[in-house]
Amino acid sequence: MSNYRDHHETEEQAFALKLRNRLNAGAATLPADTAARLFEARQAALDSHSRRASGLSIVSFGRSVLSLGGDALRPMSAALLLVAALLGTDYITSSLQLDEVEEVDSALLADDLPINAYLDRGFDTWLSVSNSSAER
Amino acid sequence: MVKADRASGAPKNKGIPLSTRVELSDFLASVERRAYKQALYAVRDEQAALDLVQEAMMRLAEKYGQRPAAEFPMLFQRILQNAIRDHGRRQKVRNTWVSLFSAFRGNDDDEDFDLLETLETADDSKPADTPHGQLQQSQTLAVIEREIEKLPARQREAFIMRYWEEMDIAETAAAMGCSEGSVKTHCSRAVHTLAAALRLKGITL
Repeated sequence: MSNYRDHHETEEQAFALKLRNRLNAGAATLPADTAARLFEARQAALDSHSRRASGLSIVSFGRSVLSLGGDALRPMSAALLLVAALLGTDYITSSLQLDEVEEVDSALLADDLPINAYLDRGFDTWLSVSNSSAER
Repeated sequence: MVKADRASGAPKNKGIPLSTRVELSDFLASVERRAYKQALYAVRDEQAALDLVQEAMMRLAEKYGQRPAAEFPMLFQRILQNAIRDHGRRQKVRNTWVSLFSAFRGNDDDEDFDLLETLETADDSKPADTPHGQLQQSQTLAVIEREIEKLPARQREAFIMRYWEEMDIAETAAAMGCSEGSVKTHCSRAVHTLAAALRLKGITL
């Protein structure tokens, strides 16, 4: 029974192979304008493929960074990325703090109240007295 | 193309190198003529067939261009078949409207197909060095193609993928979204129908 089926399948495949050869011969002799249209279609598809590949998105950037050096170095590159991110944040926050200090200094210096007033102990007393009287 | 996504399953491809532009170009060049013929058998309109192939190529390049090249045949077939099916649906809707307004026009051109017409154009397109042999070949091809057109859609798809695209049974089943058993059944029926039709016309390959 299985012999019969095998024979049947082989026969089927042999016939299909002959059909295939005929069909291939037909596909090889397509009219020139059809072949040209297919060529254009392929080029258009390839163009859109490369446009897509070259478009730098955050995801693809991250992936390309992570794929540096293959699988073995992937954890290390991830760690490097993390350290770089930390250093970057640190730099930004410290520069922000510096700006703040500068602002306070310049405000103090430019104020009508002389800077020496803050060194005067009596001034502190006067401040606390005037505060407490204001509260009352 | 959600179906194609599910069928191919992205995570299992870990470690397989992703395809390059050259691989995609080679694949499309190798498949474009057969794809055009396949679409033509299904929609029987040259312009529509060309549009469908272009649409399928674009979709493959845009959505799956970064996938491993080994997956291209299956993905492309799946995309092309979906495009052909969508086209069929659109045609059906359009035909309904057309037949509403012109009740006297036949809705199918099955019966008025003239084989001689095809043969003449096929013959005109290439001046033959051995006219008789060329004529016979193009006649046989026209008959084969006509019979392929007549096959039920699923049988035609299975036959083309298995025997013309040389995809294996598993790939064909994945592209068609059916079991491997059905692929075998479709293929076998298609081959038998074609063999019987050719025998009836006295054609031996």
